[in-house]
Order: sequence, then C-alpha cells, then structure tokens
Amino acid sequence: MELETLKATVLAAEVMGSGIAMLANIGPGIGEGFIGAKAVEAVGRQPEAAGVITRTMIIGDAICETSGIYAFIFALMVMFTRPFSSSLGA
Amino acid sequence: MKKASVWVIFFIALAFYIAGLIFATPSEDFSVDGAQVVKEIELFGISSEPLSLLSFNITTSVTVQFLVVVFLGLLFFFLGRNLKVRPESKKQMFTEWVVGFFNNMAKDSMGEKYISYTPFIAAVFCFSMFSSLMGTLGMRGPTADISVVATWALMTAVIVQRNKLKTGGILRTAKSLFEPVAPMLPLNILSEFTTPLTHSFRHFGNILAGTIIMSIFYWAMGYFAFVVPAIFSLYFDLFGAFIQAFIFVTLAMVYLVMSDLSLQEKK
Repeated sequence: MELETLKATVLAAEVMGSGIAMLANIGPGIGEGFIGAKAVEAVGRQPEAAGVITRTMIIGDAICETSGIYAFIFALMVMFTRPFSSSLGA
Repeated sequence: MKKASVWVIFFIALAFYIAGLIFATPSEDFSVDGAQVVKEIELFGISSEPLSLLSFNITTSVTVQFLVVVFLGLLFFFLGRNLKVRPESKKQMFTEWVVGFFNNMAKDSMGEKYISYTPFIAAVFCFSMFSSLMGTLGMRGPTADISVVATWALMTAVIVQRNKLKTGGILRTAKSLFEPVAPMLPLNILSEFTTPLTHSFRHFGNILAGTIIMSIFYWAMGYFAFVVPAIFSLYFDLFGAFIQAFIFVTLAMVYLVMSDLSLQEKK
C-alpha cells in the first residue's frame, strides 16, 4: 500500500472510530429514560415528595451519564488530537 | 421598567446587531480550541520545557478564574456588609436565603455531623457555577478545562481520605480496603483513584459538550445568530451550569458521608 493511501485510511478509521465511540451514549440514554419514567411514577404516587424525588433523580442521571461522558471525551480526544494519523504525519 | 427605556434597550440591541452585520467577518471553518497559554512565566530565569516545575503557564482558564474570584469576592463582600439581627433590607434577605440554601443542602445530604463542611461545599458550588456562566459572556469557561475541575475533585478526594483516617483510624481504614471480602483489594484500591476521575470527568464533559454545541450554533448561524442561540443557551449554559455545580457538590457530599467509617460500624 502506498504511504498516502495508508495515511488516508488511518485518518478515516480514526474519525469513524470517534463516531462509533459515541454509540456508547445509547446506554445512558436508555438508563436515563428509565430513571425519568420511574421518577414520574413516584411523583404521581406521592406528589408531596416531588422535591426529594427530583433531587434523587438528578443524582441518578449524573451517575448514569458517566459512561456516556467517557465515550464523549474519548471521541473528542481521538477527533482533535488524532494520535495515530499525526504520528504518521497525516 | 418604563416603556420608553425598553424601547431604548431594543434600539441599542438592534444597533449592535446591524453593526455586527456590517463589521463582523464570518469565520471560515469550525474549530475547537483548548485553553490557550496567555503568558509563560519562568522562575529563576530558566527557560523551560513543557511540564517543567521551573515555569508555569498563565492560561485562559487561570485568567477567567481570576475574574470569577474577583467577582465572587466583591459580591460576597457586598452581601456580607451591614448585617442586622432583624433583617431590614432585601439584600440581607437574599443573603440569608443563600446561606440557608447551602446549610439545608449540607444538612439534607450529610446530616448534622458534617455541617461544618458547608463553607467548602458552598465555595465549590459558587465557583463552579460562576465559572461555567462565564461562557455566556463569550469567554471560555474555566470548567471546560479538565485541570480546573480535576483540582476540585482532588481536593474532595483528599478530604475523603482524611475523613476516613479521622473516623476510623489507620487500622480500620486499611481494613476497609478488604471489604466485603479480601479478594476485592485491587478493585478497592482502583476505586480510590477512579472516584476523582469520574467526579471531574462528569462535570468537565458536560460543560465541554455545552460549549462545543453552543459554538457550533454560533458558527453555523453566522450573521443570523441573534435570538435562536439564546434559547439554546438557556439550557446549555444557564441550566447546565447550575445542574452540574449541584451534581458536583452533591456527589462530593455523598463521597464524604460514605467515607465515614464510624457510621458503617453501627449497621
């Protein structure tokens, strides 16, 4: 393979990889949906506890988001630092 | 506000908008910059390599943080002046509401025993929130920089370790690494390090995502970025700044309570 083709392939793989990494956000999306649904149910059952439930829900969302945030930071790192293609000089 | 002054504000905004249409040049392509080094300071006159201890860099984060510190200092100096036993002014009512908000937050999450940590919690909350809000002024928010947020997470981690030693002693702290069963030791040691990591990444990632999305809006709309970005800015800048600061301090309080070994004994 020629060097230019190799560089282009590595660059394309990197950009696609950072896009694929963002697929990890499917999980937190589903999880936060569950949390929101359950919180709405809980508020419906016990409206006077809405404040506490909302606070707990937001904390749960934050914990749930962690893997999505990891994927996001990883994708950004690959997008903007380009570790592999820059080492090839592309 | 009088009707006339509303019109004056409207026309001033319109004049700025038209001036922007005439004088501003659109950016060619979209790029995301990290924190820029504004000035490099060399100690002892020795020229430095990156990561050398003999020099330190003044970055945009440091500069904007300094603005936040000055602003918060002036704000709280103004709020804390002329307090009376019977509140008379609206200013004092607001001050008492702020203090009560933080006291209640600490009391709800940590209980009476840790009420003395309220100043730390309140300081991190205010600093984090106003740092994130600097993004609305067109500056790069310091919280979109991992070094800034990681500092606060490390501070929390140090307090957590100190609290473990204080409540349980050295032997009990060492024993807590072997819980619930002895083979969990590597995972427990690992979790001591990943806790500040996740703690800082969560805040950093959220604010950075908001910053990037808002800059994409401003870049993509070009001259017409007049009203629409403000609506999204409500969520990504204002709501995000408050919620992320809230989550950051709440998690800090949760970590602090979980590290109390004397509470675990009673169960």
